[in-house]
Amino acid sequence: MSRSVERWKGDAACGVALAIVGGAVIWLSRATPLGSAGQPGPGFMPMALSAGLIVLGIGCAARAWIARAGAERTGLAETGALAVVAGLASAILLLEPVGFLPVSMLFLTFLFKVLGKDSWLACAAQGATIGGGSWLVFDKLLGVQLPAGLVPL
Amino acid sequence: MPSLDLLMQGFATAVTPTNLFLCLMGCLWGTAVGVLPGLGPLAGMALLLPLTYSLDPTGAVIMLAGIFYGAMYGGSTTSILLRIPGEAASIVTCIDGHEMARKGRGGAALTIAAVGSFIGGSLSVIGLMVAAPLVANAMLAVGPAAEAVLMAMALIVVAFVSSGPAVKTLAMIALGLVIATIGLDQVTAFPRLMFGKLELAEGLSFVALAIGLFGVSELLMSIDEKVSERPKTPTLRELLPTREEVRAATPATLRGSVIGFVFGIVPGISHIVSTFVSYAVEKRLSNDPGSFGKGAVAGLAGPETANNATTGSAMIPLLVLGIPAIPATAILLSALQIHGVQPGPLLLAERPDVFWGLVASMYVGNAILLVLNLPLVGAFVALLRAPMSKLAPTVLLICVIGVFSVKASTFDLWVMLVAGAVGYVLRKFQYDVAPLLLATVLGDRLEVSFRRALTISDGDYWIFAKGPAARVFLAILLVVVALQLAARALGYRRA
Repeated sequence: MSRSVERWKGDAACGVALAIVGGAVIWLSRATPLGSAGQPGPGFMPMALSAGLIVLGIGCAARAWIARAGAERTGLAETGALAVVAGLASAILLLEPVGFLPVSMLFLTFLFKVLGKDSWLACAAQGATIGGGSWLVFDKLLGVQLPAGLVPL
Repeated sequence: MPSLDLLMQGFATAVTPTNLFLCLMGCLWGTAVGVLPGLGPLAGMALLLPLTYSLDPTGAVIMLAGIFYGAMYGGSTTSILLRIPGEAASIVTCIDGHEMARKGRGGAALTIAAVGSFIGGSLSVIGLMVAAPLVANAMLAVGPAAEAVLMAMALIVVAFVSSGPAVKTLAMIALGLVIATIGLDQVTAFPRLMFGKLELAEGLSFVALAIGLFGVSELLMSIDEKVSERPKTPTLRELLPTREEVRAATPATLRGSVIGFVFGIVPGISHIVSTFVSYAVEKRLSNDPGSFGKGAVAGLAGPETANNATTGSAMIPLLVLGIPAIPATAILLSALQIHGVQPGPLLLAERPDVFWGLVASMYVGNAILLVLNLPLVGAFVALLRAPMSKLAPTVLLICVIGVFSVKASTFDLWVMLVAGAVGYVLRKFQYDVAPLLLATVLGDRLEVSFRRALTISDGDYWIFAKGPAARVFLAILLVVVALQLAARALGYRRA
């Protein structure tokens, strides 16, 4: 499924989000010693840079709003991209409790199915092969310590 | 001649079986990621960065540099055969390179690109060898004030030479600098933006940020794009250019080498800019400018050479000043720092093995690319037939392993995921995330130099305009900004 937004709106939203990040950093840094302009303390840089980020974020949003003529659209958060983010988030959550080997196989099977056209069985076979192969290469051959979880091999 | 002796020692380091193997692997992986649309040199280097931790610093940097110039080379294959730039610096190659392929000269175009890349890459390494010691000597006298001006200059130049609107690039730089303040303050050890999390004491993991912003976000972007055309693999016989083609390519290659070397030193997107400048120069000098865009050999040879010539000169600011001129060299900086090697004016004196080993390996790597890649063009073209539905999840799994292997931390994996999602959205709306990463790398040093300079001057800001080094940097900054503003005023950017 394809979703799209008018480019200027997304552009402006990014600018506003940057300004909000700047505001949040200033709020979070309010207890950090500021020092003075001549002898800056640890809070000086975060404050000064965040103030700049607010101004620049507003500048980006204003620029997008001024140039809003035309209805050019940009595809955003399409099904494939959303599936990747969801799959990756689930894999990170399960990685330590369940272990790398089963999680990598499930992760690959899920994404092969969502992004491709093969059957579940074919995707599971490919996922098991590549997941198992990665575990062998990285954990056993290269010595990368991957979480064992439920499968302490 | 001490440099020649050191270069010979460098060759002795570079041609050990281990380093030769690492160089070969780097070149092959780099070419593969350069060929694959969506994965550029930065993503390719970021993905393999964690695997270099078990290597010695010279081996690590040799492999990563191999990926860097391998990717520069690999980008030309898809540009010529499919009109798809494997990475941004290959956009210009599409214009005349693909036109040559459409006329049945795709094989010759690949050879011209490969030989041009080899010549450009090799000449720029000679330039690196000559210029780096001179710049290093000059930089030894630079204090914290001039260093702060240098860092600020690098970031401002990035904003002004960026292809996108300056306000967006400046916003990305500001965000990167804010991210760089996360963790314990380097001067007072005061915790900043840590939310009580010890994982943040040293700031956000550079590897997680780099892989998220470039690896994950590029894969998310690639999933949206569809490649339907299937390229034809040229035969070995078709790879030979005609005499006329060689005659047209030779001067363009030499000019491209000079342009690429000069632009490679400028921080920012120099490798991309150099290709456009080279194309414009070749068109201006051509007796038949009308042939450009229709398969002009010089329009392919010049930009492709310039693209690879930046790889040598981009190492000068990295190795001698500790400033990554382009995002890909930020990964090299990170790799060196992880191995306890601090690039800067003292690198040549303190770690000549790393510097000269890298220089020698670049000669070797360029030769490897020339010898191996033309016969292997069929294998690289076959990579393009791999469906993104299989490739993206597999590469993502490598991203997960790479980030996790650094500190065995799932927190870093969350950083990677968030950076990937944010990078995807920002890039969808034409915010360039490369300056963000550069600012994250330079932020710490910029702040420490800035505060030390003010301590030395007792709060007097004029210290940043005193001394010959600071004045030279400020003058360079003013010239670059003035040139960019003049170019915009004259409408060159739009043209």
